[in-house]
Amino acid sequence: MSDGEVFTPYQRDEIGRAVRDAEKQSGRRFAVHVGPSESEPRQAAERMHASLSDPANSILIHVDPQVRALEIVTGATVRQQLTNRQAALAALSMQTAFAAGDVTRGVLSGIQQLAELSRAPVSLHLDTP
Amino acid sequence: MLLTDEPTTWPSGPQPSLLHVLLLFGGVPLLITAAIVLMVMAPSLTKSTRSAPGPRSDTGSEWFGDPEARDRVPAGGEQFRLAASGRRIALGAPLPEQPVSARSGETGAHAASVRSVGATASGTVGTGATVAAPDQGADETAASGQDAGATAGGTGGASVRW
Repeated sequence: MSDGEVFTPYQRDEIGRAVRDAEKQSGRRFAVHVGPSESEPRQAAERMHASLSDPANSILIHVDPQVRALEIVTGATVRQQLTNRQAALAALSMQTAFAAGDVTRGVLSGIQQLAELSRAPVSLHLDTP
Repeated sequence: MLLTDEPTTWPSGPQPSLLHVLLLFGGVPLLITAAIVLMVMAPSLTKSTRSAPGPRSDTGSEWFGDPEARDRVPAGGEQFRLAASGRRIALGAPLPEQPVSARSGETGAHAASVRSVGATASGTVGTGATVAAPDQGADETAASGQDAGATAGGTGGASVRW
């Protein structure tokens, strides 16, 4: 891992795989950005979220290690299933890993929790042929 | 005639050369072994040379997932938040901006600031709930006024400082 990189190739693979699994599991779009914010972290995260291909159905995790900021942004459709309180709970568990200096584990934990919480409940009447 | 001798009825063809024997009994197993090793190691070799998912820059930024994120100003919404400080949690009330910096040097096991943010098109509405719990308060937490004042079309989520 060189100076400019946050993750090792293996960690990058892990997170990429977690994102794909989360999208498959929840049916939502996930995006993770780890790096400095161009402006105030929340505003930067919302701007990034709005630039996603399907913002309403997307969850963005923005981690700014420089200012120690974590932002989770959920789209309007996602909010019908994933409440802000649940997002805050996931953020708290991520924060624990971040405080210990393990950004990778924190991101992976957050992705998994958000995927589980944002998954629409299966209805036997509606979802089975 | 011993029992282990070659049967006399077998045709006696030309003896294979030493090189032919070596190729047959040494080369073929080596080729099979090499093929198996190649098949086992191929996935890890391709992974190590694969670039990271999504665009990356030299500034230490890493993207995963949707690679189409670009700078575009989102449709704004008024933010409201709920804050808790140590033992107090206030739900739904619009509160002033929380400090961004972590305060790890202060007392307490950890210092953090958490808030979840709900966007609304109609303004801020607070439920006014407050929970108090006894504790020494170096930690600062602000969670969100959640869905109380949020309307359809706005973004939600949470913010954490550590």
